Order: sequence, then structure tokens, then C-alpha cells
Amino acid sequence: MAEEKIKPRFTVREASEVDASVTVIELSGQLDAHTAPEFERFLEDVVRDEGKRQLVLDFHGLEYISSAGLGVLMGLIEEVRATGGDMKLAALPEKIFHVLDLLGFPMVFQIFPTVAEAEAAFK
Amino acid sequence: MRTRALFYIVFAGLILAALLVLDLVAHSYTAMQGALLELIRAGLQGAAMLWFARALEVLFFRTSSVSRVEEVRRSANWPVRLVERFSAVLAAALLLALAPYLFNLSLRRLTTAGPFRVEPEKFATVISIDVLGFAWLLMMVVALLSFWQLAQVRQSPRFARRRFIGWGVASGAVALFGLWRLEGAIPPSALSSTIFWSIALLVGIAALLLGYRLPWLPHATREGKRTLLGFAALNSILALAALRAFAGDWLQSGLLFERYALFWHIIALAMFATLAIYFALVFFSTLFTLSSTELVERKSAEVQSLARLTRFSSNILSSELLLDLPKLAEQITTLAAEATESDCAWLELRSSSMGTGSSAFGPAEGEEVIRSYTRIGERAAERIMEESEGFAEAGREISSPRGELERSRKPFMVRRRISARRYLFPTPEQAAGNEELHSMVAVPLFRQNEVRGGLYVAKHREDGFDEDDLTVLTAFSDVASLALETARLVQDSIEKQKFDGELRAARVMQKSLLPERFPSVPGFDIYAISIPAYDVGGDYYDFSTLWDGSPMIAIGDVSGKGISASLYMAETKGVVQSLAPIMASMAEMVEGTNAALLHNSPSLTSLRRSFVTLGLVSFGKKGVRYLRAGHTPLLHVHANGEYEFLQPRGMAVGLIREPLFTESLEEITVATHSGDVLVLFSDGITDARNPEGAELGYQRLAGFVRDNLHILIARDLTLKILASVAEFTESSNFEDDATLVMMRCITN
Repeated sequence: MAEEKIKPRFTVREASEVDASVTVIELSGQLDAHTAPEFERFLEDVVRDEGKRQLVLDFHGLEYISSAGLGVLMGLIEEVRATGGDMKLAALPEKIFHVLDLLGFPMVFQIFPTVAEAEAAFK
Repeated sequence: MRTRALFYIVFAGLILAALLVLDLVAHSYTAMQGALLELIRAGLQGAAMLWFARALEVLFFRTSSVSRVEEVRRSANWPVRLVERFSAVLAAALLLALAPYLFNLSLRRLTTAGPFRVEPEKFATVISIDVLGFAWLLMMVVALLSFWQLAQVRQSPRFARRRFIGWGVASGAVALFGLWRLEGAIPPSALSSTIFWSIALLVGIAALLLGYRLPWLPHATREGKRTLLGFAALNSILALAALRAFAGDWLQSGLLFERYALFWHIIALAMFATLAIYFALVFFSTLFTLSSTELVERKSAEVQSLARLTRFSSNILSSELLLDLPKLAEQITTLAAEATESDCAWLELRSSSMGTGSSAFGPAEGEEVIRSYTRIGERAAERIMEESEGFAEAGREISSPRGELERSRKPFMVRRRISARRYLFPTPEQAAGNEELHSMVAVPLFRQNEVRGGLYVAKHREDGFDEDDLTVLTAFSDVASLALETARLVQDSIEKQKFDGELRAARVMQKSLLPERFPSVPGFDIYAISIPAYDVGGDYYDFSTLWDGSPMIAIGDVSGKGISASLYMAETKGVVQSLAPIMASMAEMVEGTNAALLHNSPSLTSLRRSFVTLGLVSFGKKGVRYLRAGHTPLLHVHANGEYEFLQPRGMAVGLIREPLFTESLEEITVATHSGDVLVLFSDGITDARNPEGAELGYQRLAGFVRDNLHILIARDLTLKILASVAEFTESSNFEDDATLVMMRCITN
């Protein structure tokens, strides 16, 4: 176990080479009860302040997601969809997909094997 | 109680003795005949019947005043049993019609005024008739009381009373008119016949009204209704037979009882006719509700209790109330009274248990007690909680409502009369204390797994509560206990700044929400355990019974940790508990739970995005059924060591609305054979890590079960698997709540 707490790192990549309207958010590290509020604030900034509506969450670097992290996604999806946008999930590690699959998330979110496919789905 | 009944009987006996003397005198002086004498006799007989009724009421009709949850649930079929019992009463009445043939009666037939009349010839015959008449009056009282009891089941008492009295007035009018006519005070003519039959028609209408709406019918189980069909038909036929046997001069009894009590005899005929109509109505109503209409009624009941629970929970689980203990307590009693439509409600919660810290007469000095009273004074509430008279459960005297909660740890209901004491000349104080409140529900409030008080609701009317009230209030009390405990912790933490340490207390509190006993499921041995992590968490398991009677096991995991998660868990448990008994299938129940939890968005922000996963297994006639609402899959280990994880589709509860949620659910049947093991678990088990950081995982868990299939007892198997998990993690603690529910199939 590492001494210092592993914090999730978030980066926003403007997917300009495909379509500027799609925002790809890369998640990595551990998204648990401690880091979820940080993620929530970040996501709210993107959605509310920057007005981004078409989001792809790139999960490929994510090691762990807790219910608190899932709560953040559930909390914002309705708001995003209400304004005509969507939030799609991409590149889920097998373990993360398993957790989401158990909870029935595939019924709510579109899940894609790669970021490119998710981006293309906004067409 | 017994002595009071004896006193009533002696009193009634004295009246009848006076009547006998009157009869003997009248026999000697032929001048003493006619309508007036008959009226006096009818009055005396009526008075005797009234005292008999009071005695019988004390002895047989009101003995069990305290009811438990299970009894109340079973009592859905209570009216069916009343109908069954009625068959015995009617059969006894028929036998009584033959009783005169046992006596050697010497009678003289009179044919002067209209129909046949008889007059006894000897003193001995007069006495014989009076003895027979005594038995006959008793039969009448029992029949009338039984009918009265049946007529007011689940009815608003005023409504029932009004209709019953209406019937009584119509019958009385018929009897009075008949008496005058037979005694020659009114000449038998075409007009008087018309009047007589018109009033008789009123009795028929009153009878139809009495059986018009039977509010208890939809609550009866299907089997209960099948029984009901048979007995209602039988009763209707028996009543018609009794009518035939007692009317006219077909049998000796008709003439004889007419001679003994002309007025009451006509009432009896009216009663038999009414019963024939009433039971015919019961028969046909049952026939029609067997299929569909009952579902409609059930749905409305379900929506009602759900709305009540949801309202209650969302109102208490607000953050500002959790900071204000007295206000929270006040809110709980107000809402409890509102939700059950009670006339008053109150609660008390002590800081130490009664047995140790204080005397039986109230809280000890210096003890901290949370109290709240809604529409009742402290003194009146205190008196009711300490009132011991009139509390009896199947012959066992109960010390007092307060003591009973402490002893049994279970909710109970007082159906009739909180106090049995009835003063002949009550002082205003006695009248207020004992007559005002007649029915009550009491549920225990827990603190650290001990009963430390109770939540009480009471109504002025008798039989004011039904099973829904009891279920909903029981569910309320869990949420209330937890909220009060949390509020107290918050208060303490503000005072003492040691909130963290007190979390342990909340953990114990949470554990007390788990069931203490495991259900007995035919063919299965069941054991369950939940080990909380350091933080209060959100795992839970519970047992309940679905509407069709099949036992159901629920496992759940609330998202998040901490007090908010455990409050959410308490709420989920409450919703599941109140919904299960009224739902026909697990899918319906989960849909209802989802709607309730989504609808209820408490103001605590951290709760807003909570959800809960549920895994449900039911054991019905169609076999073992499994429904998964986002929970970890069901592990099915076959007797031969093969295993599989069953993962039907299903969303977690509280995430999405209808109809998407309903579409996501898939209920499956699990084919089990002797020696198979079914395991419900929470991810606290499979996510447990060893010091190297490796997760236990599904396959290892399945392996543990497979390797220990030789352990036949569910409890031992569970403990063995926990030991294996601890061996793997090299620790006896879990990072997350860990729950295991083991179901071992012992027969096919």
C-alpha cells in the first residue's frame, strides 16, 4: 500500500480532430467516497459552467469505482439529457464493467469498447 | 373479570325467576292474559338477555385484547372463522327446535284468535316451558352477539351500529305489530296483514344493507375465501331451516317458544330470515371477489400505506430535524398520528433500560427521557401505559403496555377498550381516562438493541386499526428509532466532541434492525449473518412473507457509508416490510420499493443520490424464485460440487424510474435439489483483499462453499466460510460490510 493517498487525475481533452462539440474526459486512479466530491465538482463545472453537453467518459485508466462515484454519474445524467445532450461511457476495464453491469447501468448508459466508437455515436 | 360475569348471570337469572313467578301466577288467574302481559314478559326477557349478553361479552367476546403482528396478519381470516363459528350457533338453534320433545309437556291448543296457540295445562308444564325458554333466550343472545360481532368487523363502528340498530328497529316493529295482532289487540284483517308484511319488508331491506358491503372480504386469503364459500352457503341453509323449524306449528317448538316469548320469538324469526339473506350475500360476494376485484382494493391499500411511509420517512430524515431532538420527537408523534389517522400519539425513549436503571413506576431520577405527546396529556398517556387491567392475551394477564413492550420486544395492538374497567357511576376523571380511548397500537423503540421506550397511537373507537397500520407503524418505528438515536448522537457530539466514538453505538443500533430469528422454510435450512465494517454501513438482510404466503429472503446493500446510508437502509427495510405482505410477486414488490425510494427525495443532500441493491429469493409453491435488482449474483452450488452464479437482468433500486426499471427486471426460477446450497452475499465478501492486495473474488467464494458441502447445517457452513475468508484476508475485520445468507436445500 502506498503511503500517500492515490488521487484520481482528471484531464479534459478537446477531441478537435473528430468533432469539437464532443468532450472526452479521461478518468484514472480510484474513484471512491473520498474522491467522488472532487469528481462531482469537476463534472459540474464542465456541464454547467462550460455548457458542454456531449460527453464521453474514458474509463480506461480507472482502477476502482465505488457507489459514490456511480452516484455522481446518476446525479448528472438526467440534467445532461434534459438539455439534449448525453454522457457515454467508453473503454471500461473488465472489473469496472462488471460492477456497472451488476447494477444495471447498461440499461441507462451507452457503453462503448473504445473512445472513438463513443465519439462516433454522437453523429 | 370472571366474577363480574358471574354477577351479571346471577342478575339475569333473578329476572328470569321473577318471570317464572309471574307466569305461574298468570297461569292461575286466567284473567291475566293479553297484550299487556306479553309486553311485560318481553321486557323482562329483554332485560335478562341484556345481562346475559354482558356476561357472555366479558367471557367470550372480549378476552383477547392484545394482538401481535403475526396474529393481526392471520386475523385477515378472522371473519371467516366467525362465519364458521356461526354454523355451530345455527346448528345448536336447530337442535333446540327438537328439545321440546324431550319433555313431557301437557298442552292445550287454542284456536280462538287466528293461528294456533297453546296454553300449558299444568304447573309442571309452565316450569318446563320456562326452563326451555331459558335455553332458547341464551341461544338468541349468542346468535345476536355473533351477528353483531360479524356486522362490525372492519366497519366504522358508527356506520355498523347505525345499520344494526336500523335492523333492530325494523325487527322490533315487526315483533310489536305481530304481538298485538296475535294477542287480539289488533284484529287480523287484510289491512293489518299488509302493514305487517310491509314492516317485514323493511327488515329484509335492513338485512340487505347489513350484507351490502363487506369490507373484510378483500382481506381474506384465497383459502379463507374457499372456506367462506362453503360455510356461508351452509349458514344460509341452516338459517332457512331454523326459520322453518321455529315458524308456525310445524314443530312443537314453534308454538312453544311463541308461547314463552312471543315478542322475542318474532324477533328470532326475523333474525333467521336476516341471517339467511346475509349469508347468501356473503356467499355471492365471495364468489365475485374470488378473482379480480380484490386486486383493485389491494392496490389502493398498498398505495395508501406506501404513501404514508414515504411521507413519514422523508419528513423525519431531514438534516435540520436531526439537529433538534425535541422537535424531531414531536414530528414523529405528529406524523405517526397523521399516518394512522389516530386521535392521539405519544412516544417515550429512555436513556437506560427500565429493568436496570429505574423503577417500574417510571424513569429514575436524573435519567434522560425523550418524550413527545400529540393531542394527549402526559398524565393520560402515563396512565394508559401503566394500566394493567383489561390487558390479556389468550388468558395470560399482561402487566401493562409499557411492561409488555419491554418483555416481548414486539409491537402489539389493542383492538378493543384499552381499559376494561367500566364504572357504574364514573367520576369525570375515570370517564376521561378509561372510556375515551378504545384501540391502540404500541411499537417498541430500540436503543442499542434494547427496548428503551415505545411509540403509541390510539383512537377513540374500537377496532380502529388494521394490519396495515401495524405494519406501517412498525416500519416507521425503525426509521424513528434510528433518527432519534442519530439526533441524540449529534447532540452528544456537539456537547462532547466525540462523534467518532459514538458511531459504534449507531452501528449496534443498525445491527438491531436485522432480524433475530430465521424463518422456517420447508425443505431449507437457512442462516444469515452480517458483519458491519468500522463505519456504519448499508448492508442488510431481512425475512418477510409475500401475499401468497411464500417466505421471502432479502439481501441489500445501500450505496455509501455512514449514518445517512444506515438511515437509507432503515427506510428500505421499512418499505420492503410494508410492501411484501401486500404484493403478489417479488417483481411487483421491488417496483413498489423503487417508486417509494425515488419518490422520496430527502433533503439531506448526501442521501439524494443513494441507491440500494436488492437480491430476493422466495420459496413459493412454484419453487424457488430469484430476483436480482443490481445485487451481486446468487451463487448456486450443486450437491455434486458444480456451481454457477445466477445473474438475471435487473437494475439497482432508486436509480431510474418506471417503465425502464420494470423492463430491466427478470425474475427466474431456480431448480434446486437435495444437497444444493444457495448463497446470497454482499460485495464486502468478494471484495475482501489479502495483505498482497489480491481480491477474494467470486471463484474463491464458490470454492469455499464447494469444499465444505459436507457441512450440512447452514449455520455451521456459514461460519466455516467466514473462517475461510478470514484465513484468506489474514484479518478478522472487513473493510466493507460483509453479509452472507446461506440456504441449504435439505429435501426436494
